[in-house]
Amino acid sequence: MERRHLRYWTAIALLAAFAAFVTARYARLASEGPSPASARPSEVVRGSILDRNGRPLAVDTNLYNIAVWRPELEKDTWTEDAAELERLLDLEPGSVRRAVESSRSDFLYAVKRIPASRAQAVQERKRNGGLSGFVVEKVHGRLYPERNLASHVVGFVGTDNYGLAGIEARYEKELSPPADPGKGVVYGNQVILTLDADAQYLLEGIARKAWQDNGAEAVMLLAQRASTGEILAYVSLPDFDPNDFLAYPETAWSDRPALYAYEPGSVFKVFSMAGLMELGGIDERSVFVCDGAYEKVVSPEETIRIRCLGTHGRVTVKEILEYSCNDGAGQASDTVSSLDFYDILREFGFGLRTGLPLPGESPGSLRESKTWSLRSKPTIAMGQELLVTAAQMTAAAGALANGGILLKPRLVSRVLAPDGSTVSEEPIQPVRRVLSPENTRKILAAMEAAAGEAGTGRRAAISDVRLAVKTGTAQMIDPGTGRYSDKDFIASCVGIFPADEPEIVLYLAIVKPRGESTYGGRIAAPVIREAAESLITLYGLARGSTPTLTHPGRVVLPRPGIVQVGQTMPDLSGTPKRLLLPLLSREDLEVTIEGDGYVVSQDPPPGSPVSPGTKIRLVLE
Amino acid sequence: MIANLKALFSDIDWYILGATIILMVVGVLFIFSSGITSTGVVVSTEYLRQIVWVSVGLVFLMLVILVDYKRLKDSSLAIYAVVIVLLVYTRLFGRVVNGARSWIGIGELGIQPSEFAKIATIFFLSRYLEGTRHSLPGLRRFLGALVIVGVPMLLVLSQPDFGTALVFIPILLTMSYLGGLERRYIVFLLSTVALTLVLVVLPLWERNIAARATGFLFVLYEGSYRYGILGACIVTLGLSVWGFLAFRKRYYYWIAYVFLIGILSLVGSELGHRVLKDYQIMRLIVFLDPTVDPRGSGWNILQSITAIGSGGFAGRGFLQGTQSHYRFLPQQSTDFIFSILSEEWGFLGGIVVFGLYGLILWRSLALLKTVKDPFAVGIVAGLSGMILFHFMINVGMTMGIMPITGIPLFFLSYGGSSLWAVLVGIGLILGISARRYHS
Repeated sequence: MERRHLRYWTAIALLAAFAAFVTARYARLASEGPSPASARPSEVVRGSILDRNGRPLAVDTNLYNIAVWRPELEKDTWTEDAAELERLLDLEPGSVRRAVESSRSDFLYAVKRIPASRAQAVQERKRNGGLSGFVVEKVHGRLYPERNLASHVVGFVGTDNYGLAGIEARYEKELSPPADPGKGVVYGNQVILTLDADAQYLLEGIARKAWQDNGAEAVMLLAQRASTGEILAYVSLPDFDPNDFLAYPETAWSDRPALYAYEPGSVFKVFSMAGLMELGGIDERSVFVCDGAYEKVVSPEETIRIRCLGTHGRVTVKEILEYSCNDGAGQASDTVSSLDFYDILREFGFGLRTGLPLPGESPGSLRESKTWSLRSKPTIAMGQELLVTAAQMTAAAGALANGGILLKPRLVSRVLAPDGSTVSEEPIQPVRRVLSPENTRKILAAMEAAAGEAGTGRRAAISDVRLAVKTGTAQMIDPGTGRYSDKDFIASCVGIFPADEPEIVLYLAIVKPRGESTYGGRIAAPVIREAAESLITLYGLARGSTPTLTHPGRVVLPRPGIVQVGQTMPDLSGTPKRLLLPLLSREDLEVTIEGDGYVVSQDPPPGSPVSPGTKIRLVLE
Repeated sequence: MIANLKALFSDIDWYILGATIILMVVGVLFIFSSGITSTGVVVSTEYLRQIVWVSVGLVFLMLVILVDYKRLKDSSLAIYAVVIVLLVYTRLFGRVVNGARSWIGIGELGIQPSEFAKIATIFFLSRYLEGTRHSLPGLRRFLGALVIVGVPMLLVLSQPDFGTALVFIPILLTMSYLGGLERRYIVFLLSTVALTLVLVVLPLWERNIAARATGFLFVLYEGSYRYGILGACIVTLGLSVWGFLAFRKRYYYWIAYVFLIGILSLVGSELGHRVLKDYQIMRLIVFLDPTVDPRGSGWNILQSITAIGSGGFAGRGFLQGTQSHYRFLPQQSTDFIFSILSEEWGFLGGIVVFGLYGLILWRSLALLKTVKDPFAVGIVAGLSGMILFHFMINVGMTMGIMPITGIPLFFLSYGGSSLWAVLVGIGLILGISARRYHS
């Protein structure tokens, strides 16, 4: 009995303590009054994403949701209202009605994120007392005025305006600062990209044509400024419209240039040959004899044999790149140790993330030299047994174009505060010197030869600009069999121009072309030529045949002065109307102006004396 | 017969009945209020249905008073069995409402068997605890009680209705505690449940609420560390069981006791992580800092706290609340009805509700002291525990001091099943109270 009582009173004591706690908390809440935080929700206006010239690629805008509040629906006629709404919003007939009927909830969204122009019609109708139970709700939404343009860089936001991909995701904190109830509306920072919308547009068009012509699975085309590492165009196909990304398959959202790792194939020879030269294993005079296959006796029983595409005879570095000679590349690689070779490729950035400001970049794969087999070194020298991304290939080619210094590729040039002041700037970031300037020149010269008459990259050649080029056709592992597929290839091409003083690096990869040809020299090189041609025109790069005009870089525009009439009548022809206004306020002259635009005739003619009371008649067109 | 009825009538605890009726009237008023928009349009007829349920419920209550609970003692197993069958049926063929397969019924009419399962479990558990008082050793008696409560609880959990399932735990604790089960078993159960919950919410708490690494705690939930700790616990448990059996030293027993709690909690939280989605766990802990997710799981709490604050001391007046009429509050006629009441009637109104609840609990607890029959003690203890737990969790939730579990505030919240179930419970208490001096 005693025990039962003890338990009884313990229970009562616990209960009393809890009751006191709840009451105290309740009293505190009730006395505090409504918290300002939830009473007035703060708004966040997401910052814009602009291209290098300030062209908006992503802006915040007001969008509207149309919600249904079931209790206020007209019991008998709501289906007519729903049908009217469908008409106003151009929706599929019956869709709103079905949404209402299939939901058990009292509150639901009939349609989300429609533009103001559409919502206005609904609001108009509601003002006249119609559409009871349908609610127009204003939300902040993202608008991508250039639609598919650079969609993988810009990325997209979810329905709650939260960045889910691309710069939108990576710069979420900058673009969308936390709401501050004290301030009401909070504006996010703007992100200025290095991309040039014009270049992006041109290259997207060119890449799209290549994509369609070849029936390829994907195409990647990147353009980078040699001296700064700024990425001017970043094309990845298939692409998508970030305004409506859900309408596209997820494969279209994939940011392939940063994510997709593959074996680069022969294009890689420019890096392996450059590395071998830098290591001192070979120089431009080193001669190898190509007999149609690379062969190396590693033990009495075993001989490694890797076939070459042809029998190229005596080859130097220049010919290795010109003909893409596997045998020569393999023999050249035998001049250095695996560890040194691994190190220099690592210096080019292979196996490491380039540091692009995009989510989830792949580092590719370059295995450590101690895990290499006897075949590895020559195979890697030919561009197999390692995985790269298009971003890495472009960045590494950038080192060739920049006198041997690898730059960190840049997509964002600066971040601006809402008032336009600079918050942060992305400077040029040299990563390391990979090659000596001299070796860089030698490799570029060899790549120029590849664009020559007999070179594999001849289809990339431009008549009046020196172009350094290297093509490649990489085999792909068939995941089903684990062996190289005989129909899946990646045709790729790198182009650097002008070869003597490089300004632009282009890199193109066509994944799984299904057209007549799958060779990089045949299908990738012409695309590089086309892309180079259009960028040369866009940026006005010097062409051999066009005379160049040197120019101090400053244009002085004569500032139009205000028209003054003194003792004699000036020549007013061509003067805009705006500047004539002061004449009208002259009390001593009678001025009549006829028409709009610019002065075409005047009375009295220039040079005539003017005296008080003179009548001046000006005719404008 | 008539004389009997008269005697029964005069012995009824009018405090409890009165408080119950007043609470239900208040409930109907605020269900009405919750169904009105800011423009004064009545958009919900929930209040009319609630009036029907209150009326029918009162009839049930009267019928339960009339039946002598002792006569039902022998059918308690049958009642329990029927409810279990209903729960199984619900699990398989029930209707899904708010994500849980918890309803059965025809057309618009339906009930939630889980609400009645609580009452039936209390009834049968009480019978079991009474019957095994002298016949079973402590551990077996405790395990038996665990099974009786565990079966309906797991069935409800699988619907999945986490909140309702949770209510079975305080029922078991109160009844075991007042039913004279040994304290170490109760402490064991309490520690295991508490530790399991802590381990379930720990990773999300660390990530979202604390938003910092809290030292070594990650070893409790991160992959291989977790299995390492589990393995170490099992080894220690094995050694101490062996030590106890070999040397009969008491401290081996307690080492085993502690490590068994650890093992069960680790395994339980592992299951919890497999069954519960992250957002469900977030709902359990977001009350610690609702501002981490103000538009999502923290929304309800923030809006509710705002409603309480905006009500102040005396409230804004009946039907004058803005939080409810602009529809800021979710589930305002069910889970968050106390917030509306607080906004419109203020702190004073809330205290009145507290007082009425306090009256029911106080009278029930007072009854515990005078009732001799252990069967009746069990029933009253279980019912009081259940009512108290519902009240604590629901009211605590609206104030941001308890997790959001979605269990209703008895008497006030809109809904037939929970109302009828609790009225049956109140009927049982009143019946016991009226017959306490009968032998």
